[in-house]
Amino acid sequence: MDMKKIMHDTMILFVICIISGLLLGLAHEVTYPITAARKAEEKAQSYRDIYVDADHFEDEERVQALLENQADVLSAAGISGAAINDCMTVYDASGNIIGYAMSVATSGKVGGMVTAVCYSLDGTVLGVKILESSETAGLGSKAEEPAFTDQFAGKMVSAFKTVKGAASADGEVEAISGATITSDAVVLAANAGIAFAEYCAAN
Amino acid sequence: MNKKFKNPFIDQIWNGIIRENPTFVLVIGMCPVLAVTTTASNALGMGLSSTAVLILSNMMIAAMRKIIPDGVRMPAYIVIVATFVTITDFLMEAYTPDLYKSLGVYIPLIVVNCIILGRAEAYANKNTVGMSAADGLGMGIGFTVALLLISSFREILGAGEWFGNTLYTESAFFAPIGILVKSPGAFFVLAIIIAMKNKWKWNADKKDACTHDCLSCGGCGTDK
Repeated sequence: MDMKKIMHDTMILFVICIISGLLLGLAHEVTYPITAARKAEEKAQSYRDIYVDADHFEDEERVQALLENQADVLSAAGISGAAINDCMTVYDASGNIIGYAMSVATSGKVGGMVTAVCYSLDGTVLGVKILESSETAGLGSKAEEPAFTDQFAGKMVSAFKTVKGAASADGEVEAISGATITSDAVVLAANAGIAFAEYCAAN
Repeated sequence: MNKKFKNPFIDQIWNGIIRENPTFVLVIGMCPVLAVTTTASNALGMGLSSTAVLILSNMMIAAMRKIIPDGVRMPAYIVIVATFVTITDFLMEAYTPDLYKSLGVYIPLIVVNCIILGRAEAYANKNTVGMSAADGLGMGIGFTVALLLISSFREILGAGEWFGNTLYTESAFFAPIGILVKSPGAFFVLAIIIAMKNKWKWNADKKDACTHDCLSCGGCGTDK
């Protein structure tokens, strides 16, 4: 194969890659705002589903400032590998703060997971819901089912932990069989939320 | 089985569904066949999304068959297929979120489905855009039918359900055969279906063998 042919083939492959890249960029540009808007709406709906007593949710300035200290708060609570994406303050009908709703990013078995968790001011978990996950269908994907997520609702504990087999104490969560890493990721998200909700309530 | 149609497009579609069925005759793309056939709805989703990508990538590769140099055709095909898959992924996530939720995990897998690369290499790079689209459609339907057949066996006999609807529960006469929905079950069902297909084809070929003018047909290619 002579030099000219190598250059020619390389150029054609290069052009194909450039065109593909442009098409992908264009498709992303067109679809991203729609996808992002729908995700935001789904998140708001999840918060409303979990916190049924809430009247409205707001981005409070005080909490946004506290979010910047989250790394210190979480490491003080002994939590690593979790990040609070956002935290909204929950108000009742007369405008009193009654709790916090947040979405927490953790790593599952396959990729990143985002979990919505709501807390009342005294630290009770109102419920959790998986917002984003790419866990294995039939194994890790079971974390999205109520059978798993209902284990968190209504509990007031300092931290959850997973157990194999039936849960016997209040802070124990029965891990999904065959998906311990995914179960741990959801528990970590809930625990990170507990630590941050306590910090918000105290400051 | 070896039926020919006069219309070349219909014949090419028939070729993908029956004569060269990717799963039961060519035996390519086995990974999704074994992995996603635990339920009929997964199988249908995987089959239909693969069909869409197959048609598009076949057409694109046929249209560019004179531009792509022989030496770099493989990377070029992979880039084209991956681009289509990713664009499909974006579009489905934005415009058909419900469908995306149920199929989302299978879409990226389509890039590495060797039926798509196989048809690009074996067919689309030597044929016209229209014929390649027909080939993609036929292969896609053939793949979908095969997935549905295997998954129906596994889901009905293995879990007592079909498309998630409970058909029967454990009784004194018959209990669901649990191993069918586990990984070995995929191999059992695939093997039994291919064995039955071979038996049927063998009988059909034997019956066909001398219905023609044997002097001029040179053995019909069915001299078994």
